[in-house]
Order: sequence, then structure tokens, then C-alpha cells
Amino acid sequence: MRGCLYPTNCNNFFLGFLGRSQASAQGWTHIIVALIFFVFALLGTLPQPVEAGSKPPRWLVEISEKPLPTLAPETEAVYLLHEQKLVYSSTGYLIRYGRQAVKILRKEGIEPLKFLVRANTFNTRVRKMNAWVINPDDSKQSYDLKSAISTSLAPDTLYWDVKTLFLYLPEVTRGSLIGYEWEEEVKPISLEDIFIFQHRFPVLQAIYQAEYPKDCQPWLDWINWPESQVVSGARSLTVQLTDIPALKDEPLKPPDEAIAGRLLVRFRTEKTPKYGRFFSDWKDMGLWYEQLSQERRQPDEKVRVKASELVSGLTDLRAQIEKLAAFVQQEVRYVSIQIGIGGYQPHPAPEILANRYGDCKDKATLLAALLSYLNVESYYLIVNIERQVVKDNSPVSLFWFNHAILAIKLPDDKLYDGAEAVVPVPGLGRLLIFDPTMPHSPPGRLPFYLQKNNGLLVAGEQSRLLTFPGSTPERLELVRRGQFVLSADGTLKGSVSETLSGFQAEVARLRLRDVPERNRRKDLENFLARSLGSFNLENYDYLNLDQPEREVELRYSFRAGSYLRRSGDVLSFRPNILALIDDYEILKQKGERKYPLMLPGVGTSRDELEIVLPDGYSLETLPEPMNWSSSFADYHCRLELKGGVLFLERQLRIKEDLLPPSRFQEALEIFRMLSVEERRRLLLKKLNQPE
Amino acid sequence: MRNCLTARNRPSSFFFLKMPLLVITLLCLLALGLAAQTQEAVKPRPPVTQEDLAMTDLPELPGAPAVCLYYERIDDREKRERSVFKRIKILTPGGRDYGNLEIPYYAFLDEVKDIKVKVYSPDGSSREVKPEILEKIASKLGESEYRIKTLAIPDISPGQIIDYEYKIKPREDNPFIYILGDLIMIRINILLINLTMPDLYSSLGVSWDLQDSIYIRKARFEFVPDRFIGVAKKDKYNLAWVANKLREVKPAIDDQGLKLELTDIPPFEKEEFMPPESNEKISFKVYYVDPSIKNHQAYWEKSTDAWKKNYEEFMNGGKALNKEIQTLVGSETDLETKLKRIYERVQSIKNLDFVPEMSEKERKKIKVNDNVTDVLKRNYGYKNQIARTFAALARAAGYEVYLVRVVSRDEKFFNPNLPLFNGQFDSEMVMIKMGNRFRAFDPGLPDCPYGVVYWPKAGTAGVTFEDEQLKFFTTPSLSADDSTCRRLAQLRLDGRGNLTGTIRVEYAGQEALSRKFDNREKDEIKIKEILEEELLKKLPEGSQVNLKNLQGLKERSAALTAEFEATVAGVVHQSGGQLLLPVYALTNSRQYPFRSAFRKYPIYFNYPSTEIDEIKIELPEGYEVEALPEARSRDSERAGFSLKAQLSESGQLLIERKVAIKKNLFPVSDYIHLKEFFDFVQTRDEQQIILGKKN
Repeated sequence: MRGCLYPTNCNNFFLGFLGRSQASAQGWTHIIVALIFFVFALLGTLPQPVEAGSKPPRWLVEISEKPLPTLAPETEAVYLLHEQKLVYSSTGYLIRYGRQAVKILRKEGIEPLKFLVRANTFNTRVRKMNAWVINPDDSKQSYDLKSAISTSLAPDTLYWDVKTLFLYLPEVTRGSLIGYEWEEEVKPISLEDIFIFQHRFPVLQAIYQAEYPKDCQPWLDWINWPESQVVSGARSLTVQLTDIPALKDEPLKPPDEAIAGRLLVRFRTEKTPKYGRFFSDWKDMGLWYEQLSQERRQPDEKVRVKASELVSGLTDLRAQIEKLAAFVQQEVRYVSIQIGIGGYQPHPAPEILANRYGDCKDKATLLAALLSYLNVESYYLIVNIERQVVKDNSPVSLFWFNHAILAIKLPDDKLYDGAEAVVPVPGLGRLLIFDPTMPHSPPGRLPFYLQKNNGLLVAGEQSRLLTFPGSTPERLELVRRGQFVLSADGTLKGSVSETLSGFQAEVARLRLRDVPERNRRKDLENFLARSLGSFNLENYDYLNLDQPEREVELRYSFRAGSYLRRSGDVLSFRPNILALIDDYEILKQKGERKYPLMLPGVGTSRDELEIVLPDGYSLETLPEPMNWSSSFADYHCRLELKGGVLFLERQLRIKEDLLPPSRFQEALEIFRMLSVEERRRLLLKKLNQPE
Repeated sequence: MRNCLTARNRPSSFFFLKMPLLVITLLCLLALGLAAQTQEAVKPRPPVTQEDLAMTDLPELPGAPAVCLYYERIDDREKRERSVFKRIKILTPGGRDYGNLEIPYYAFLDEVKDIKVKVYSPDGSSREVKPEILEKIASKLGESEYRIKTLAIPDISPGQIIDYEYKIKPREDNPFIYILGDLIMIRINILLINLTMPDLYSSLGVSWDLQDSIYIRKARFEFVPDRFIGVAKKDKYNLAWVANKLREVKPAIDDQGLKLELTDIPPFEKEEFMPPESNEKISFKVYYVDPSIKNHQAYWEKSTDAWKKNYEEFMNGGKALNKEIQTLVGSETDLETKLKRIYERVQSIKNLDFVPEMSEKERKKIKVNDNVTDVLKRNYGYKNQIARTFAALARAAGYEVYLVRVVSRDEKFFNPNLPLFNGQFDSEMVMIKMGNRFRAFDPGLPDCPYGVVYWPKAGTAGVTFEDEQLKFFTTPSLSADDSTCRRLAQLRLDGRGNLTGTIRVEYAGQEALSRKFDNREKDEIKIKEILEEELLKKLPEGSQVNLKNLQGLKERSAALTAEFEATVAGVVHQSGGQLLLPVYALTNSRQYPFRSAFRKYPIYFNYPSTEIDEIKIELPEGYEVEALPEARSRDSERAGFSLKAQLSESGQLLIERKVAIKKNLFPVSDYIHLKEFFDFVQTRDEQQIILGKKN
């Protein structure tokens, strides 16, 4: 709200689909580790290295003896070797092996590498985890699976049966070389493997190998990386890469998963595989998921009765759909319980209804079952809530997703005409994309994290990767109207009404709907403090926070004691009284831009302010209107003086939410200009008094 | 000096309840079971009232997602069980998350039993719920396992009330270990041996952290002590209770134990610049205390006597000390010089408390130091051993020396009612009388300069012995002049609305020491990043800085100097033919604290400090000053501010600014004054200098 262009932590409460990828797991690992260590510290049983354990293997010793190439001084650690091997065994299992040698160059590299992670899941069994540390003083330690700490904790998940295994290396120091080998056995769902070779530290040598049966054909896809040489054998392939640069931190860049180089390897078999399947395309995967979930969305009598009860008295189909959607969004609480295949497969609709809880795929399932009472068809849409992770040309893979929503088939051309969440799909007609987990986006509105995102449409033979629409830049998401009175004693009195819709309303609701009133007050005080300095918030009122189908309205009034600044006989003030941008994170860019710039959405914000000037004063100079336009954004600001009242109108329109690095400067310039513009001051001079 | 007695403003008491002796025989264990059967009937829980059912909002905290109407916790050591009951009213959709229950427990020691859940609808009807109970591993290493019983109560909506209860009991198949407060008891055959005794004369029985994320309307706690608590001596224990931030709390104490009833406990909320959380959070603790202790005074006397005996033994270095002194000071007669040499010597000792990179192999080589001679011979020691070594050497050199045990105030404040000597007084420093004044030293802190004490040990509770008499006092406090940050900027207008040039930042006293100490494990690249980030945070958005030179980082001094190339972005604005720039350009609006109209907790800064700015700005060609803001200053016992802009003879703008926070702890009642002060500072900082074109 109030020009907050960037949501903060509003997209991590509905994770829960298909487990988590290695990269996303890194984000929460430290939280889990902190908890684990708290517990073990209490017990006094922190894991210790095995002094008399196995000696470092030959490959690690050899690596340790090689001289290190010259690296940038800020390099915290470097992977000397990052190797992964997959053996598609004749038993039908996939056996994965991993081997890493990483050298810590700076103290800052220690913490992220102190923990080595794998996970036992319903279809993966970790067979081996071995680590060795060779310290600069030549002391050595070794660790194995027996010294691993295990946990089933995961953020935003009440229960899952995944056991994450951590090897903790307490002895690591600057100059340490860590060797790591792991091995796991996978009973696959999908005959695929992923090799993530680009990380937060540079990789000097990355090797991927695969061995597979004679009747098996590997399909390779390079993601975020140019196609590289593959050495193929009769039943094997090898890829070697060198000098892979580290991922870099940049403000407003896409998530790591969307930019890290990786290799996806899928195996096509001539015969039906013993376990798992080859997904040749997105349709194939859609068919699989449909088969897995179809039975779960069948309504029973209770579901039908509930649907009937909910739509009772409503004759309009849109009203009926919205009633059912609101029930699932608002009255079924989000609880994630994932057991076995439950990371993929939803619970049965009747069970979800009886419990009145479920995770994202459960909510989609219940709504599908309820809609079937109206003879309205619907399809799952499997997505990743981080935009750009799944691109429109992404190869088919089970590794991409973390969320499930629903596409509701609209029976005619009129229903939801013009709504942003409607996508025409050849063969299926118009689909309304709806997220039953997001309580702040009613049918017709596409939540900000889904805009221009991609998702797997699960619709039998019509399954495909679908690109979602986005809001239009013209959409007015924030309108602020304010009346202000400036007095010669420096005081500014103001009353403001704000209307928030779309992204702005979603963010406001995420932040403020479920908090005590005093937190709302603090939120507003913090915002006003940025603009006003000292002030007294006299009253305020938020309207419609719990009615997602309506705009959020905020009204408040305040008194700022010293808004006017005096210099000699002259007074000055900022006419842009309310900050338009909440955070100028983009201005923190250092050096040349490497990654695209990603904003949460497009849209328009407008201020219409009336400022009564103090009696006996007039503007020294009325600035010319400001107009700034580029293909990325438009900004205009116009001041008009009528009598003693200054009218200010300004509008910011963000027209693109994803810019390539080559156009970063274009965005930077406009935000720089806005930052200065918000601080611009006008001079007031005293009018000559009649003699 | 702060008298520790003046700090006794917390409602608390030191009740003593004679507890039966721990009998370390099988008979005792048998008696445990018998005792369990003879407990009095459990007090009935209050019924759900019409008022509870009709409640739609919490007047005390409007908009709260849920409220705990009743919380009951009974820690029964005789039965060796803890029982918990909670009644939660769901008020908003967000409050439904309270329908997800998680019960953590040590699976290798305990088991969770008798989980019961009941849900009341707003119409008064109720249903027993038996949700599926799932069990997840919070952490597991070998046999040590910490688990969480997890259940999601179905069909929860606003308006409903959830009652749930459970008990945690020791596992019947594993009676070898159990935990009583912070006592870990291991049963070997029929003996119960206490493995953890953090303080000689007291040990935590139970700790109730009463502030949760939810408002609690009514609560009842009960502690039934261990009739047979085991230590390897035949004696009796007393009980002492300590309440924090609870007014007029009066627990009922009888032979059965301690009972406490409370009402209206708000959720805990953090505030900027608040004292350590442990000081502000509502809590209630019960301690087992040695039977010889009759009151607080006796506790502190006994504990400090034990401490004194310990340090005197440690500091007894005999002839080796004299030899060391001879080597160090030789024929030097100047008191200051002699002491400096001794200080340098102990500072060169490897401080084992601050060597995180030491390998296990290295650690195994470390021998236990029994006295200062060992420390000097081996040249390593822990922080308090190094402090004692300095004290012992100084004493051997003829100085009047006091070893002082202090409460480090970075994580807690001293509570005289809390019977925890080591738990509170955790660090040692040294005071030496030189002439007619005392000087304080902090030799246990690596690279702490001579004569400087790190802020957690300054202005805090200390204890020492003077002429064999126990003395509580407040360690010397810091003044605003002891910690300064001085910025010297030489800037010019770049014609694009920015000021560019150099900013030299000189940190002195605690400002330098804290930066050095906090970043001691970081390399220069990281420190550069940190210092640049720190300055950028202060400057207007879009500014850029580049650290060009850093001095004093590796020196044992309370000084650090950083020189930056800087662009202060977007501070010069054109209005007609005039240029406006703020009189204090090195800031942004986020730099001013205390925006909220309300304050709950006292205001706490780590130490008093002073910010000084001396800014020189070259005027652009063809411009002259048309108007300068008036010089302003204000001063009070809390804070001081001055700001002056003038034109130098050479035609440069000179801006001098000073902000001093004179104390580090302010009562809540001072909030309005501090807020008003910072509002004043911001207003003055934003005054404009007006430049006009020369004729």
C-alpha cells in the first residue's frame, strides 16, 4: 500500500506442493538448524567429529594438493569440484551420487558450508553421507550418516514425513577444505534428474555423469545456461564445465532458482519403466497428475449438500461460483499435512470439507468438487509462486512447482467479461484462474505472484503449460486524495483518503488484516514518519480489509507541528507530502547489472492533493509540470495555484515489471528522479502588506 | 554508585518452604509413587460462560486474532508430570491457526499422555474432538530425540472456543534420566546424581515464561516440588520464587507446593531501543535453594564468599608472580607505565573465550589452569582467568586491586531477588586505586585498550570485597563524551543535485570498540562492506560511498577512522533561480527514532554517545548565500543538540552539528521528551540554506 511496490514476505505461507527443491530449501535451512541446535545445546549432545574416522579419500587429498587459481578477493569459498552422477539401475531405481570439494577462503564462507544437507522422503532413501574436513593446520575430521542430525520441521507445514539430514561440521575454519560424498536411492515418479551447478560460490569444475540401460535415451535441457558439450557413450553421458561464476546479489532480481545454471536430464525408455515415467511434454505430466488426483476431487453426498446449501437462493452463476470460492478461501483454513505421496496428491474432497482445513492442493480439490455440483468444470493449475522460475519455454519437469490453484471453466463468453484472471484456452474455452489459498484475491482478480507467471494446466489431453495474463498498467491501484492546510507557524494539518486495489490492496490485507488494531496504527505511523517528521495521528480508519471483493479504503487525519521550515524570511515545504515509493531498494545496485529487474507488477498510483497556503504567503516560484516517460514507466506531476490553494496532481505508471539487464538503467533513472522529486521543496515568500 | 537495594523494585519474595530431604535410596523412588496417589484433588477449571461464548473482540487488544481465556499449568515433580490446559477463543479468521497444536517433548525421556480436545460453538454446544495425532521429529541425533506431537483440530471458525489439555510424563521404560528444571538427573542403580548445578546454592525448579503471542485473560500455575530431589548429600531444600514485571503477585505456598493465579497477561511485543527482553518479559521462576540460606542477603553472602575463595585461590601465584613482575616492570617507577606493561602482558595471553576457530585437536591440548601461574606459563586462559591474572600481577606489583564480578547488561539487568550468582554475575573486571581515584580495566576482553571498559560492564551491577567486606555497587558509568562519532565532510555541489566529496568518520571510545569487537571475526572486505552499509543507511536514498582508507582496526585502541568518497544524492533542489539544500544533508527521514505516539517499555541505548558533524561545502560558481537557518541548540540532562551554519572567510559553507544522548536508560515517562527531542532534531536538520545567483 501507499506506493509499496515490493511485497515483503507475503508469498511464503502457502508453500506446500511437491516438496521443495534444493535451492528453496537453502532459504529455511538456517532457521531449522538454529532450532535444532538450541535443542541439542540444551541436551548437551551436539554432534562431534569422528577423530578416528575414515581418512580423507584419495580424490580429496589430490585436490588439496593442487594450487588454487587466482580468485577475486571477495570470494568467500570456492567449489573445486562439484560432481553428480546418476545411475539408472536395472532394478528400476535411480541411484544418485554426489561429490564435492569446497575450499573456504574467507570467514564469511564458513556458516553456509558448515551444514551439508540431504533428505529422506517417501521415495528417496539416503544411503550414504560422508564428509571430511582438512584444516589449514593439517588436522582432519570425518563425519558420516551416523553423526547426522535429522528433522521433520519445515516452514508453514504442520506435518510432513520428510526427514532432512544435516551433517554438522563444527571444525571448519578459514582455509579448510571440505570433502563431501553422498549417495541416495530414488524410487522415481519421474525419470529425471537435475544438476544444479551454479551456486552462491564459484565452481571451478562441475561434472555430471549418467549411466542408463540400453533401451534408454537421455534428453538434456540446459536451463539458464548455454548449451554445452556432452560426451556420450553407449549407455552413458558426461558433461564437464569449468569456471562457473557465483550467483550475485542484486536488488530486485529474480529468485536464485530462476537464474541459476542447471542441467535437466530426462530418460525416455522404450519399455514401460518399472518405476516412474518419462514425461515427454507438459501434456504428459498433466495426464499423470490428473490420474493421481481425479478420484480425490469426487464429491460425496456431504459435499453436494454443502454446495447446495451455499448456493441456496442464488440464481446467478457468477454469484454461485463466488459463494463457493469464498467458502473455500475464507472458511477452510490453511493447514499443510503431507504424508508419503501427499506432497503431490491432495486429500479427498469429503475429508477436506469435514476437517475444514487443507493445503493449497486440498483447497483447489474441495473447490473443484463443490463446483461440480454446479456442473462447472475446473482444472488444477500447478505453479511456482516465484515468478520466472517456470518460464514459458521451460522444459517439462516435476522439480519446478510449489503451489496448486484452480482454473474454472466459464460456461459462456459473458461471465467475468473483462476480468484480468480470464484466459482463453483453445479447446477449453475461457478459464478463470483462481487461487483458493489466497484469501485476499476474489474470483476475477489474479494475485500478484501469478501475474505473467506460468503453470501446468491439468486438463487431460488439453494439458499444457499456460501463461497467465497480467494486470494492465492503466489499472489505478492507489489513489490518494488529501486536503491540507499550512499555517505560518509551520503546522500542517491534513486529512487523507486512500483507495487501494489490486496488488496494493493484497499487500495491505496480507500485512494488516489479521493483526491487532494497534499494529495497524504503528504501520500508519511508520509510513507518515517518513513523510512528515514529527506529527500527531489524530484518527484513522481502515475499511474493507476483510472484504476482498472491495477496495481497501484508508482515511486518516494528522497534524504535523513543524512541516514548514524557515530560513530567514523565507519558508519552504515539500509539496509531495506523502511518500509514493515505500522502498528505494533499486538504488542499492552496485556496479554493472547482471540479472533482469523484476517488480511485483504493473499499475498506476495517483495523488490528488490540495494544499492551502498560509495566510500572507505566496509561492516564490511555481514549478513547471514534470513529465517523464519511457517504455518502462511514466511519471507526471503538475502543480497549479488557484487563489491561496496549491493543487498537486501526480501519477506514476509502471508499465513493465520485467526488464533485461540492458534496460536496468532506464528503471534506475526514474527511481532516482522520484527519490529526488519526493524531497523537492518550494519556497513561500511573505506578501507585501498594504501600507 | 547504584546500590543494589534500590533495584529491589520488583514484587518478589523469598519464601522458604521446608522440603523433605532427598533420600537416595530405592525407598525414595518407591515413595514417589505413593506420594503421587495422595495428592489433593485438582482444582476445578472455570466453566465456559455466556460472556465467553458471546465475545467477538478483545477490548484490551482490539483486533486480536484470538485470546486465551484460561491457561493452567501444573508442574508436579512428585508425580513427575507436567499438565497443561488452555482455553482459546478464536476471534478472527487469522485466529484459526490456534487450532493447530504442537506439543514438543524429549522423546527419549518423556511421553505425552491424555491429550484431550473439546470445541464449543458460540451457541454453547460442544463436541469432543479426537483429531489424528501425528508425531514429527524436531531434531534427532542418535538416541537423543526431540519430538513434536502435532494435531490439527477440524472445523474451527471464529467464535468457537477450543479447550485442550495434555500431560508430559517420564517414559516408564527410561527412568535413568529425567529433567527437573535445569537439573538433569541420572539414576545409576538407586542413586540419583545431579549433573548440573549452575549455582552453588540454588538451582532452577521451574520457569514460567508467561508472555506468549496471545493475550491471557486468566491463568493458574502450580508447582509441586520434588519431595525427593537428589543431590549427593542428606539435606533439605528451600524454595524461592522470583516474579518479573508482575505487580502484587502473591503465590499461595503450603506443604503441597506453590500456586499462582494471574489475570490479564498481554502478549509480548518488541519495541525499538528497549532493554534486554529478559528484563521486560513477564515471568515467574521458582528456585531450589540451599537450606542454609534464609534470605536474599544470606544467599548473596554465601555465593560471593564461595566466589572470593575461588578467585583468591586462583590468584595465588606465589613467587612466580614476583618474577613475572620483575621481568615486566624492572626498575620502572612510574605507576602508570608499570601498570600499562602489566596490562599489555595479560592482553597478549590467548583468550580462549574468543577463539571460535580453534579445532578440536587444539582444544584437546588445552589444559585446565588452576591458577594465574598456569595462565602465565601456558599463555592462554579464559576471559575471567585473564582478568584474575591482571589483578594478581597488579597486586603483586603493589597496587590496591579489586577484582569485580559484574552483570553484563547486554542480555540482562541485575535482579537482586533472583538467586543466581553465576547466572547473573557472569564476567570479571578489575578496579585499581591510583592516587585517590579508582580506575577500571577490562583485561578479559581481547584488544580492549588500557583503562577502557566495554559497555556491557559499565554502569552495571558489580560486586567486590573491600577490606573483606562484601560490597555491591554500580560500576563506573559512561558519559556521552566517552563514545563519539565525528564526521568531517568536505563536499561540493555537482550540478546534478548531489553533494560529492569525502567524508571522514572518526569513531572513538565505545563507538570504536563496539565496531571492532562486533566485527572481530570478519575480514577487511566484510568490514568495508559493513562500514559502507552503515554510512549509506544514514545518507539519503541513492547515495553512494566507497571506503578508501581504514585506520586503527588492528590497533589496541579505542579509535577507528574511516575515510569515504561519497555522493550524497538528491539534496540540492532548484526553485526558480535559487538553490535549496538542507542544513544537515547527511541524513534521511528513517534515521529519526520514536515515531509512535505510545511507548510501553523503558528506552535503552547500549551507551550514551555523541555524534559530531563538521561539514564544509564549496559554493557553486556564481552563487552566494541568500539565507541561512538560525543557529539552534538545546540541552537537557537527557540529550543535547546544536546546529550552526555559517559562511567561512574563504566562502565555504560551514555546518557544525552535535547530538548527544547523555544517558543509556530512560524510564517510559521520558519517552515523550525523547520523542520530542528527536522531532526537534529532525525539524532543525531539514531547515534549508538558500543560495541565489550573484548579481
